[in-house]
Amino acid sequence: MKDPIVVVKDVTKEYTMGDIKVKASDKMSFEILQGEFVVVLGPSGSGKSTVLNMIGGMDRPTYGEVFVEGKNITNYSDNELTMYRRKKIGFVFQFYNLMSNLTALENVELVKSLSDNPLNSEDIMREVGLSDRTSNFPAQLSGGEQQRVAIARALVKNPLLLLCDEPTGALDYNTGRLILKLLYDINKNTNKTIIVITHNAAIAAMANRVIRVRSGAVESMSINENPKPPERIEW
Amino acid sequence: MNILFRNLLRDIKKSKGQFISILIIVILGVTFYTAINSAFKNLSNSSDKYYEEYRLADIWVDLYKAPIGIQEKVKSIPNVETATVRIVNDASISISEENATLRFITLPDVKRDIVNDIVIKSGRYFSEGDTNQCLLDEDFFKANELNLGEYIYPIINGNKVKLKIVGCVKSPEFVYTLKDSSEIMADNKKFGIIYIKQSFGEAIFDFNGSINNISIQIAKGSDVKNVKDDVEKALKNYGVKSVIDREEQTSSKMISEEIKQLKSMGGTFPVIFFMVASVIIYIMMGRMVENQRTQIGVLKAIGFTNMQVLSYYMSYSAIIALVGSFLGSILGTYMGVGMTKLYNKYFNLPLADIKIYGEFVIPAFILTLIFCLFAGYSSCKSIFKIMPSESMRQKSPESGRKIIIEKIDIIWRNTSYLGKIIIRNLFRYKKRAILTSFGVIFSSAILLVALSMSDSMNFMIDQQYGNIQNYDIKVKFSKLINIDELNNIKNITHVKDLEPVLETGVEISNGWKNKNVGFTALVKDPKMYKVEDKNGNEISIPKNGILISEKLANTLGVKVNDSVNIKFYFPGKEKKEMVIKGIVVQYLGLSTYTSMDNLNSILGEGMIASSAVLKLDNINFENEVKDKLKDMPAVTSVESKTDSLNALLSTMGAMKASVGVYIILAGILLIAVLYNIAAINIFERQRELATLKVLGFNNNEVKKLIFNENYIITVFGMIIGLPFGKWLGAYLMASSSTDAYTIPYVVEFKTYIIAIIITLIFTAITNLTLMKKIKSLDMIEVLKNKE
Repeated sequence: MKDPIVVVKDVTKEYTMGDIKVKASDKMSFEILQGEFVVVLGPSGSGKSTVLNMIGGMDRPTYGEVFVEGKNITNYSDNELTMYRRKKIGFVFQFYNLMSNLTALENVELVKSLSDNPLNSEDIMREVGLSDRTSNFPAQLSGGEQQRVAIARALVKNPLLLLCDEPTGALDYNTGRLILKLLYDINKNTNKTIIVITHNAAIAAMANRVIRVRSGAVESMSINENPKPPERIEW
Repeated sequence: MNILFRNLLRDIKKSKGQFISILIIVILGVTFYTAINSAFKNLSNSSDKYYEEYRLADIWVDLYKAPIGIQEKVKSIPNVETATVRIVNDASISISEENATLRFITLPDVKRDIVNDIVIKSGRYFSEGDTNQCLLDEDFFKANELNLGEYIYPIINGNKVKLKIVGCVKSPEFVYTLKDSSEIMADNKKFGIIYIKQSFGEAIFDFNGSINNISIQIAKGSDVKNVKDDVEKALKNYGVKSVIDREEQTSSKMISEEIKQLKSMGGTFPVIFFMVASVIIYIMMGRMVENQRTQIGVLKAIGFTNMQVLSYYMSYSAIIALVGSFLGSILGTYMGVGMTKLYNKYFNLPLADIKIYGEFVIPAFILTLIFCLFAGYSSCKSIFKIMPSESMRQKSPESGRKIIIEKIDIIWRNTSYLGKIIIRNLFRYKKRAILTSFGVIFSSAILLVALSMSDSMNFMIDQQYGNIQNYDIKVKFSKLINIDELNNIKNITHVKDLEPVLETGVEISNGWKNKNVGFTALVKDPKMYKVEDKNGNEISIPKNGILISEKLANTLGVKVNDSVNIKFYFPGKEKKEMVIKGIVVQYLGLSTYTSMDNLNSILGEGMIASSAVLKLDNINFENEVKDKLKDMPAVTSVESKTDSLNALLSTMGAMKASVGVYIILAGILLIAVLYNIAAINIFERQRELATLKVLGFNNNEVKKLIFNENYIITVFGMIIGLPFGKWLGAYLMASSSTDAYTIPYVVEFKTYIIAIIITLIFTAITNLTLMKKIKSLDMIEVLKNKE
């Protein structure tokens, strides 16, 4: 059996709000294998973003550990976490978060400069279907196009993990499906591990692994032997 | 509105740093406004009162000799209210092991009201009997640590005279004790006023029944010029040396100029601060309205009127204005008292009561309110245009744009992506960047002016004491002497060289323009007392004709080869027409130069001198030579270059302290402006900064985005600010130049470098305070939220 690429072990995250302690995740545990397309499914406030943030090195658990490629990243210093994000992680956000003062291509190139073994940014732009919009600024692009730039930006550094937080949350139905198709194809063609967070249960059909979370804990986990490509999914 | 107000206070609390930094600028503006203006008011009121109470003369007449009875003749001149006659003569004295000059002035034997009266500060007026009683001016008395009842021994006409100090006094005539207008700073140890009985003065100065000075008060509302002319005509036969009014009298001129400068400073300086505060308020509130447009929409949707919402936002600037002017007035009032005292250290006006002038508080309040509310209104008026429905919809993101620099491929290709973000952002918010650089422009200009003051002083000292007055000692004589008599000075051991100088006063005129100036005759090729042109090249003394200073040429409206009329005060010498042969630089005093040969041919008195300049073979023997000189007959004063230089250098210390104050002010200006704008910048771009952090940029790289923008604005501001500072400095120097001195404005190259470095340090300090804001930026919190 393959070694898991991500191991989340008894992760608890507590926030203090005033005098009250709130648990965003409570002893959450799961494992992810290399090359899997993972969907983390749960309603809002279930703690799914919290755990993604911890895998992505943006946050540390209060208790518990997160292992990536066998290394315990919970012990990393701030600088080590920055380097970890820089080298290993590609992020895609719900609201794209592109640099408004850089063109589409420049947004990609900006991140490329951080990586040791980057991919060719023109190739990536072609792959996400934006070869003809490279010199447009984000404000001149549609939401779907902006999200494609964000995906290109995440891919260009050739990350170990591609983390997507509600990537279709701000998009209309058809555009959302095209973005999911893009992620699905990337996973199939490059065998890159992708973790998608969503509250949309229909998306689960395209995943190898579905992790359902509720109230900060894993409710259930299932392996999907025959994932469906997104064009065959309706919701 | 009450609850809305509470909301506003919470907003302020959230951005304390910005609120406080604007407040500081407003407070400084109000503080300076109240302090400078109340110091001005205190000083001008006390000097007016002092002049009035002790009858400062309106006209002073200096003449060779006239009988005492002339007083009645003068009083009978139309519009002359009253007149006092006296003897005024300089003599030297050895005191505190140094050589000093005393100006003897005679007073009535028995006290009565006179023009240019005295105030007795301690001791008493002359008593009957003893002839050799004297009153000393307070500054000299204190500087030389003298005591009442002590004896002093001035040398008059070569004789040591024993005088008993019976009183210590002050006079409105010598508020500022300067020997003549060629001196910049009073040296109270080296020059003082001494008052003796009229009868005693007549005896020791050989003035039996005569006087040489008349002080005149004129009738209120009469024209000084006319009275001066009448007086001069009436006294024509007594050898009038000079007739001057208050505008020309050294002490009153110095004071009125100093007070005038204070007044103009009180007008301009605070306005800089108000302007900068307005700029920050304008930008900050503009962004506040922009960022809270949803809240504004909600308020309007609930049913608040435009005016209510507008006044809600404008009360932010009103709070700044009110709190700022309240605190500023309190501070300014205290500082005004301090400033008055500080200025008065150097004037010694009798300040019985330093008043707190409440009347400056109201204009300060109004002025601040106008500035703040105007800035607030200009930035908030867009509230009217916000439609509730629209404001609650998401705003389309602002677009980046290609900019001109991108066309220059070679630059653009070599710019990093972070660099591109910075440059495009600056261009996107052009207006903001330009307004921010205003702070830097003012700040670097103030800095350069402050730092360059010592350059100018050093340059002047170098020129004046290194090139122009290249002598070691200057001796002045009580009368004109034949230059053959100078041989016994030349024969003093260690005197290497000697040049005679004739200095006298003349009236120079061109048409109706005229001026009382010094007239200096020098030997043919002077080695120790030279004249130079503007570029520091030596000018030879013309055989006939005269050289005049640039300032005098401007005053008279003449140029080289023009003719001017010169009136000598030697009895029987008529006006002479003379040709201007050249323009010279002159830093101290206002004088004209000619050769001794030329003067001889005009006056026909032979080769005469009123003073001599000496060079020693070894400067270590300076005091020895000075001692020998002051024992010689006819010597009234002996001054060495070291003395005048030291007096000048000691005043530079005070100047350096004020440079420190200006540097701090410049720093506060720059830091407050940059901090504010950068805080807005960070707040608005927190999403972008957080994204960069998530992408794997570390804090150092992220901070560059904000910090480098500050550096770019700083550099841009300096490019305008430093030349502006140079212009401002030249303007200030030119406007502060008087007949007594003209300081050339010089900025050394190293001063630019220092100004640049200090400005960059201010920016670095600002960046340091912003570091915390960037470090504490919470990636998750920021990215979770929709814009």
